[in-house]
Parts: sequence; C-alpha cells; structure tokens
Amino acid sequence: MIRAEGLVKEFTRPVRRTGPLAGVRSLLTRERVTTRAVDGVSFTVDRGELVGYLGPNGAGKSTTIKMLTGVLVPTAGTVEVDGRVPWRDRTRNARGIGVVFGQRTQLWHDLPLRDSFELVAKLYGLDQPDYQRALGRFTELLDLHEFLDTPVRGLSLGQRMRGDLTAAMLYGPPLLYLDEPTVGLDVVAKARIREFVAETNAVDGTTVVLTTHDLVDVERLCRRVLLIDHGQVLYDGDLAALRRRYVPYRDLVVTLAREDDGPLVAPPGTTVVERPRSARDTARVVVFRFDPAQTPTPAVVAAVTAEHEVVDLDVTDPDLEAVIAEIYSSGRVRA
Amino acid sequence: MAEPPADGAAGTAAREPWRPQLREVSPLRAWWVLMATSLRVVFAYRSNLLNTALGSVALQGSQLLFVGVLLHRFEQVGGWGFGEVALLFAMRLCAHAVCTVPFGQHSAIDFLINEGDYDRLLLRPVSPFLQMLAWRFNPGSLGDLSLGVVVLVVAARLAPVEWTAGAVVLLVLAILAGGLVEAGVQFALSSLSFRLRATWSLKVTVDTTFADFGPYPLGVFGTVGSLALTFVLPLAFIAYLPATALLGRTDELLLPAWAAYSSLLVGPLVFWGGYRAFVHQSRHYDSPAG
Amino acid sequence: MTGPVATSTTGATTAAPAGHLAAQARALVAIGRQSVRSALAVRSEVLVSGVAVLVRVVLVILVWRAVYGSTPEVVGVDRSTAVAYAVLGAVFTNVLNPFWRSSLEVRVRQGRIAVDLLRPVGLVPQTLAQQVGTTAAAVPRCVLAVLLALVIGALQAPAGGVLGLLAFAVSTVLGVAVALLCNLVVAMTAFWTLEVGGALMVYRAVAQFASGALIPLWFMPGWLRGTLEWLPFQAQVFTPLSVYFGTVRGWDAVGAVAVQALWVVLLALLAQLVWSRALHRVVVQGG
Repeated sequence: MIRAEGLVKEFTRPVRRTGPLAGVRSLLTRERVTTRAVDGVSFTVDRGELVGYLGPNGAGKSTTIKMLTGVLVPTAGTVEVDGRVPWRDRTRNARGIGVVFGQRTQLWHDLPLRDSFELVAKLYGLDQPDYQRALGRFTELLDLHEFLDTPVRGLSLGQRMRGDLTAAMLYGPPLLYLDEPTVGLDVVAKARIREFVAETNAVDGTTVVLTTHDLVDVERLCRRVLLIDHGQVLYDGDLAALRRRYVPYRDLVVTLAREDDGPLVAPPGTTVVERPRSARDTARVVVFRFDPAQTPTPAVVAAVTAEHEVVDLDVTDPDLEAVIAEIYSSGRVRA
Repeated sequence: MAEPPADGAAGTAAREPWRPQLREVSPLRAWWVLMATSLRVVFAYRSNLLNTALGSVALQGSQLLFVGVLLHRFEQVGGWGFGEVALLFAMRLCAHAVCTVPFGQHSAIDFLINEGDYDRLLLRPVSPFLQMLAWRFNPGSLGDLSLGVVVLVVAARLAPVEWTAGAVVLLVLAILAGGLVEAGVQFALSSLSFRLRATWSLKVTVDTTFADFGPYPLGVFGTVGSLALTFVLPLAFIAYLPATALLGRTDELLLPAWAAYSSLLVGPLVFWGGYRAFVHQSRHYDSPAG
Repeated sequence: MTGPVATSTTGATTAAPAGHLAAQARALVAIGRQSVRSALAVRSEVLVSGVAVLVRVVLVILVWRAVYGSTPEVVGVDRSTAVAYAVLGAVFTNVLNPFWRSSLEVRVRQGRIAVDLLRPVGLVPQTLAQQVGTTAAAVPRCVLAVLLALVIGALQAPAGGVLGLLAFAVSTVLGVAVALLCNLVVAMTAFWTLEVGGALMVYRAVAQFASGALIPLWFMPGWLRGTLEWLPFQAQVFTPLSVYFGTVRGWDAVGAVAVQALWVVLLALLAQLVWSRALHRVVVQGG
C-alpha cells in the first residue's frame, strides 16, 4: 500500500537574528539555514495493516505524513502510495486517502456538520444514494445524531473529532492517516475513537497509519510500530517484540503480610527492588525482578511464596511509556 | 480491540465493508460547489455583508470624489474632459469588480500559506488554486460591482460616445479583459507567496496603484511613465487602451492604433500567465511546521 | 515619540507613585519597539513599502503637473505648490492611513482581551504604543520619499525659515496624534461589532479625502470645504501642510495649531468615554 524509500525532506529558512538592531540585520542578511526534517526514511505498509508511527515532537512524523499525503514534495527518495506518487498524482491520491488531524479540523467552520459532509460527498464524487447510506452508517457508528445540524464551531472537541473521522471515511478511502486523533479528548471519547478505528481497520480492511503521543492508542490498536527520531527510523516492527527486546524483565510485586518478616530471600534469577513506601502502605511491598525467558514466572512465584507469607501478588510488564522514553533519550534501539 | 464496543457499533449496517464507487468530478463543478457554499455563508451574515460592501464603496468612492473635485476645478486632465474621465473610471472599476467578484480570494494566499490551511487544500481532490478562489467570498467585491455599474451607467451618458451595438460589445469585452489583466497580475504576485511568505503589501500596492492612477489618460505620466504603466505594470490594458478606442482618441497613443484593441487578447494571456506562475511556484510550497 | 506620548494622551493612569509610572513608561516603550521590529520583520515587505511610496510620489507629481499643464495658477494656488502639496499628502497618508488593522480589534476577536486587561499597563496605552511603533517604522521610507521629491525639484523647504519648520513639526506631531486617536476610536467599535473591517475601510476612505491628503481643501467647492473644516480630519494633514506652505502664517498658524490641540483633547476624551463604555461591556458580558 505504501512504499517509502530513502525519503528526505530539507527545509531552508532565513536565519533569524537576535540582539540589538535584529530587525535591520536580518533585513540585510541573505544567510539561510537548511535543516533536514526527514533523513532517509524507508518502510513499507501492507494493505490492511494498522501501523503506529511514533516519535517525539520535531522527530519528522508530520513531515513524513505530509510527503505520504502529497502535501510536500520530497527533497530526495521515492514514495509510492497504492502505486501512485502522491505529490505528482496528487488529486488521484487525495481521492484514495482519508486524513484526520487532531489539532486542526478539516470541516467547514461556519457550516452545520451535515453540510460539511454533503460538500465532501460532492467534492469526492459520491452518488446521492451512496452518500445517504454512508451518512446513515457513520451517524450510527459514531453516534452523531445529536449534533448533525450544529455548526462545526459549536461542537465539542470529541464531537468534532467524530465529525472529522466521518468526513474522512465518507467516500470509503482504502487508506486512512490519523495524526493525533485522540489529543485532548476525555477517556470515553478516546475509547470511542479507538473503537471506531479498530472497526474500520477490521471490517473495511482500511489501512491505517496512526501518529500519536498517547501510547494507550498504540497498545490498543497497533501490532506494528515505527519509531522515528531526528528524521531517522529507530525501530520498525512488532510492538511486543520491541517490548521484549527492550525491557527483558518482568516484575513480581508482592505485598508481605508483616513488616518484620525477617531477611528477604531473593530466589535464583531474581533481584529485589524495594519500593519506596508511601503513607498509605500498611504492609511491606517488595518487587522481585526477573527475566521470564530465563526464569519462568510460576517458578518465581512459587519460590517467593515458599519463603514469605504473602497477602497479595501481581505480575507486571514495564509499560510502553518507559520503553519509548528510554529509546528517545538514548537515541537508538538496543539490538 | 480490548475495549467494550460502544453503542450502535454492533448495528448490522456496520458489518459490510464500505467501498463506494466514486464519480469523476470536473474542476469547474468542484469550484462551483465550493463557491456556492462560500456565498451561502456570506449571505447568512447580512450585517457583515453590508458593512464590508459599504467599506469598498467608500474606498472607491473617495477616489471618485477626488477625480470629481479635480475636474470641477480644472475641467480637464491630460486633455480628457469630465465625461471621458468618468467613462475611464467606470471601466476601470467594473474591470476591478470582474477581478474581485470571482477571483478576489487570491488575497487569502498569505494567510492560507502561513496558517497552514494550504495543507488542507492539498488534501482534497481539487486544484488548490480553484479552492483558494472559492475559499471565502469577499462581500467587498459586491460593493465594487454595484458602484462600478452605477458609475458606468451614468458615465455612458456623459461620455461623447455613440453607443452602437459594436461599441457596447467592445465595452463589455474590454471590461472583462481588463478584469482578467488585473486578476492575472494578482495571481502572479500571489505565486510569490510560496517563496516570500508575505506578499500582502506588494498586492495592496499594485491594487491601490491600479485604483488611484487608473482614471487618468496615460499621457499624463509622460513617455517613460506611459511605457512603464503599459509593459511593466499593465495598467493601460485594464481600461485606458480600449477607452481610447471607444472615445476615438487612439491618435494620442504612443503605440499604433490597433493597440487600443489589444487588451482583448492581452487580458486572457495575462490571466493564463498568472495562473501558470501560481501553479509553477506552488511546487516550492513548504508547509509550516505543525 | 514613543511611550510618553501615549501615556499622556490617555489619562488612564491615575495618581500613581513615580516608580510605577516609570515602569509603565518602560513597558510602553518596549511595546512600541516591539511593533517597530515586527513592522520591519519581513524583508520583502519593507522593500515593497519603500518602493511603493517612492512610486506613488513620482506618479502624483506627474498627475499634478499634467493637471496644471501650462496654467500658472488656479484659485490662487500655483503649480509648484500644488505638486509639492501632493507629494507631502502622499507621504502623510502613507503614514497615517495605512492598511493595517488595529491590534485591538484582533485581540477582541480572539477573545484575548480579558488577558490584556490583567496586564499592569492599560490596554489603551498598549494599543497606542503599538500604533506609534508602527508609525515610527514608516518614518524612514517617508524621509526617503521626501528626499527624492527634493532632489527632483518637486518640493521646496517650508515657508518661514526655521520658525516655519518648527511650526510644521509641532503641527505634524499634533496631526499624527489626531490620526492615531481617530484610529483608536474606530478600532474600539470592535467591542460592539466583531466586523470592524468595513468600518475601518469607510474611515480610511473618508479620512483620506476629508483630511486633504488626496486633494487640498483649497480646490474644493466652498460648501464642501466649509463642512470639512468642522471635522477632525483636516487637522491630520491639511493643517500641517498649510503651515508648511505658509498659507496660514503668524497668528493664524498659532490658531490652526490650537485647533489641532483642541481636537487632540476632544478625541482623547471621546476615546476615554468609548473605552469606559467598552470596559463596562466587557465586565458585564465577560468579554
């Protein structure tokens, strides 16, 4: 569906001066600075995939998406979407993609939501009966009944997002780009959007490229992630594999019955990480960290419960947030 | 996937894939769909419509008043009397309306580019140029049009022209061509926005130069001035050249007499050139960082 | 003419300690400088506005020379005076009636007015300081245009020697003050209607014509001139230029400048009145 090879995008901007007479000085200078926002990005996305495209602010995510959607012309490299070069065959490409930006609506501010949809239908050449069917379907799916006749400027963020999603899917594009679709939404609204995206992907077979900062989105929706920073791909692959590779440990969190349970005994293959005790803790909480590939979880549980009197226990995987944070800060993915 | 389904998601309609057949949409139809919407929005806000149209009338009217006072005192400008200057003024203003009513939204280009809204245009399957023209509708252009028509009707009576069918046809065609000249020039200037980020003052300067110096016979600007206002800034083609043909004054031209009719050809050419420049420069579009 | 002018004309500051006043003045100067900087931020814009005023000056010279033709004098105004007047009129209007929209309007529209009201410096002084800054940024290109006109012999030194120049300078400052206050009052209509665009355009058109920037009041029919003399617009351009060309001199000039000063006071009071009404509106309706 998408094939990007060695994508590069450079921006050239005049140098901004600071200090005294900055205005006059930048007026006289011709100095320009070139920055490389995307620096040799290659990947492919197959039909029907749902890929998370992640990276910190300024990593080059938006720039990549803009090249994929045909908004920007790459400085170097090639990109093909459904067999077309997006920027060269922009109009045709636009008919085959849906794009939703969480930060900026694609709808018409002064028009009721319904009129925006009608416009989209006309611009994309959707027949009237098809439009009616689509409208019925999405109104049902995203529960738009209540605000279908409200002007877009009067919608809440969550309602607007649902409107934007509908506008992007009305003409049934086989490819959907979502740029931070859940930003600023409350928990219920987020869940509804995720559910819709999952459904669109599963039922319609729509290929979805999702950029987000909300890792819950990623965990709920994506099997595959692409991690990008400084314009380069750091990781491309299975989310679970990344987690395994990255943090090859698991925690057994145990609450001991008594505070003075004697010396702690760490079973072989585990290390003890003591939790700072909070005021609410009535008992002693201890964390045994182990590598599940080396030491099976049941064995650790058995060993610990044999040594100590335990009132509660829990097995946790480190959260994705910590994984991503470490990748960003180290600037690379461990082998 | 891990979450419980929301209400309605289990509905039967949702179960089959949604892949409708799409018709081809002609650029003209797409433009009209967008333009009709912009018009509807403008007419929904009546007070704003009236307010802005009035502003335009006042702006063009002040120039009319100026020329009126000038002719009241001096009786003629560059050898042209009241009726002749009135006709020139009216032709220029009507041509201006021909430019602003359908094409006036070129003035939004700086905003579209700098605010990132141009991205949005590029995501739709319609030429961004056409989308720009239909982006909004400036009610001020209706002020230009109404004042222009009123002044034209009055000036047509005052001007020493015998209004044969041929003369009327020439007048109408000349006004249309004049509008195309102005639009073409503004499109070309708009195309610079893709590189300069701000072309607003440039466009306003050209616009006011057309408005403020359009109502004079070109002769007043001297040889160098006339040539500059013909070949550098094509003011002469907007109204002056065809006006000399209507008024039988082609002998005062620095160019051969047939040049008086050249605007009929130059108009579409400048328009096309401006459009091509826009399309060409739009390749340099660098979407502002999100 | 940056901060202090702005503070003195608004009267928004009540009995405040001297240190407080100094801090306010500094803040206003900073705002003024900031708007000078932003007016000069885009190189192409600066170049274009510079070239634009030069081209306009040349064109008005050509038009007025042609209008006069070989007539030496019309209603007592000779050709060289009319041409020179047109030059200065073009320069004045370039500074006083620019196409920019007031920052005030933008803030009201974006709902930022509530935040602005919380700042230690009053909103009216802020707005004026910005306008003064933008006006100041226009001065270099206008000096250039005046120099050009002097070089090509379309403009002569002011009548009345050093004293005349001084009177012209005083009258110009007052004219600018009248224009800024008029701008401010029109911009404040933003508190009542969100669409000030039309009002500003009407104002700009009326001001251009009625101030005598396009054509001197000398050439206007008696009834029109009589009407315009009762309006504040002529105090913006016509009065300073009359002083420049010595068509009002001596005690008449003093009187004309006094009328300008009177307009400054009246407009400042009007601005204050409109402002207190607007403030009431913001407070009651919550911006």
